[in-house]
Amino acid sequence: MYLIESFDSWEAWGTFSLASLWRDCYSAPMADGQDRVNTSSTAGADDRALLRAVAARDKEALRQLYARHSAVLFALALKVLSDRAEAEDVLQEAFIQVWKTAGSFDEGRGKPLGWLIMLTRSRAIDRLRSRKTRTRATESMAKDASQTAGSTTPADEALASEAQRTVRNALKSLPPDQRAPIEMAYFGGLTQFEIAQQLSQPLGTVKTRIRNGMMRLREMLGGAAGKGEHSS
Amino acid sequence: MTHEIFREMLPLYVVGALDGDELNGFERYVAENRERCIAELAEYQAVADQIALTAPSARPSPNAYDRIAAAIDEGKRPQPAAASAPMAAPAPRAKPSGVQLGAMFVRLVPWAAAAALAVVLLNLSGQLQSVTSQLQAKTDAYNNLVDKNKEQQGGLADLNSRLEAQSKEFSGKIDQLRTKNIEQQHDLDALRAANKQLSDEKDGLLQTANRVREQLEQQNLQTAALQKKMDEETSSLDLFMDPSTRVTPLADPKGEGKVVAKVYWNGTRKTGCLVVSNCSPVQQSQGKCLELWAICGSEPPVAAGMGWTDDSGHGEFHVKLAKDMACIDKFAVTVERAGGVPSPEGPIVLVGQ
Repeated sequence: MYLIESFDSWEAWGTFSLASLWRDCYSAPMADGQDRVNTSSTAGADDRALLRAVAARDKEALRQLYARHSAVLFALALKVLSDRAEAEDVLQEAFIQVWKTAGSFDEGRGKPLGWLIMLTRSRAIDRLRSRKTRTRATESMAKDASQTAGSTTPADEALASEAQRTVRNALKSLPPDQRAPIEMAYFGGLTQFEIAQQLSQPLGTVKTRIRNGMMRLREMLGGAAGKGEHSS
Repeated sequence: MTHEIFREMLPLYVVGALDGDELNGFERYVAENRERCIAELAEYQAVADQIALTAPSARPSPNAYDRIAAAIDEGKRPQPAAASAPMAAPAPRAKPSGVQLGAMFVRLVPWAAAAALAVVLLNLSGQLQSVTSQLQAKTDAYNNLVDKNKEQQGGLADLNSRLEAQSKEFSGKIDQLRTKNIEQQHDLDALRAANKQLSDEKDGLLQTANRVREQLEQQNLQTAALQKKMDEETSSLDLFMDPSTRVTPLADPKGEGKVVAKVYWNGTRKTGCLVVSNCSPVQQSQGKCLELWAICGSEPPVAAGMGWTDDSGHGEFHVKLAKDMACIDKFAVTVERAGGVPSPEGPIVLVGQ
């Protein structure tokens, strides 16, 4: 719904199609529409090359990185915070951090998208922990997880990328009592002890369910790891 | 921490569920065993990163990047979006100059605008219909998947609850068996201790029994010896008490020694006894013996028994003739080789009539 609303020019409507909508799912549009025009020497470069360029103070590289991943990162922050304004603040902080510390990214330790997710999630969790309403948010998360349908709508599923659908299906295939603590930890920033308290379950049970759920996810997504990464 | 525990904590770590000492211990182990842990950590981290993709799709406002770019240019943090001005409004269009437009253009503008609008609306209508139908198809497929997933989730939940119930039941049984096993182990230990004590007592009793048996055997031997001696004493006493027993004193034929000897002979019973005192010791260990001879007239002496003295020179032995004799006139004692001889060879040490 939000994607459709973001097309605010006749040119965009003129080139609009469902296929292009899905293909561009990860790419946030620039205010000036430059996300569809690559004029820099970094055009078409993979994420690692873009990060190296950012480390060399290439603003265009940062813009491309933003265009590729801001949608996923913003959705993550919004899922954690349930507040668009705060989610945008987190997104901005994360990309400013990328601009400042891109040179410290260790390519041997993981993929750039994983690093961006870590930066965004940790900032969102920090904000969430400072809220008084955090408990209500995580309780809502536990309730969502206990329901089979989850928190995404049919329209959202239709607009999701292949990678997103694969991961969502994998997560939804987990039993609710395994999915709930995983989402409470990942999106709610709760520790195992806090989860056990909120679910009124023994700590050992919570540990076992998170462990079993993650092992199951690894089996289902092991081969798909990295599909969410954009490359040239 | 062991690597096995590291692997158990790994899924909890990547979703951020670890805390406190467990988190510190985990990170310390990874720092100390980086080479061994890094691949497994990266594998699970990649799985956790994908969870981010399950967040409902959303996009930031179009001018969000402008604030980032501005902050980078200014070298400071951006203004919070919540406090910043709302999305920039489109720039106001320049007002057309009415002086420069011709009267013909003014007349054609409404028609041209209407025609363009009609074309655009037609194009939009077609595309929206296509998108709507595709969305409907996707929604139907999604709903089918959701229904199927619900069924599978229900089955999985039942299976899971049954497994949990069985797990609890087995855990209870295992605990009971463990408790019973511990009790039986204690009983077994007590029985082993009692068995060892009984075994020790049995060994002690066996040793005591052996000592008693040895003492009994010695006493039996002593009793037998005493019985034998008593029988001999009784026999001697009977002999001595018999009125028909004749006593013959024996003396050194040279009349030099202090030897005192007597032969008690009962001619009816054909038996008798020689008693020697104050004699020079004649012992078997010397290879010698005292041998008694009975003499009848001028006939050759007949062997009548042999014996030895003790260290004090006292000796007693039975008299038993080697053959019947018509009479006995004399008794003589000689010193012979141990075991005796058929006829006297050694010196006569005692003689009596």
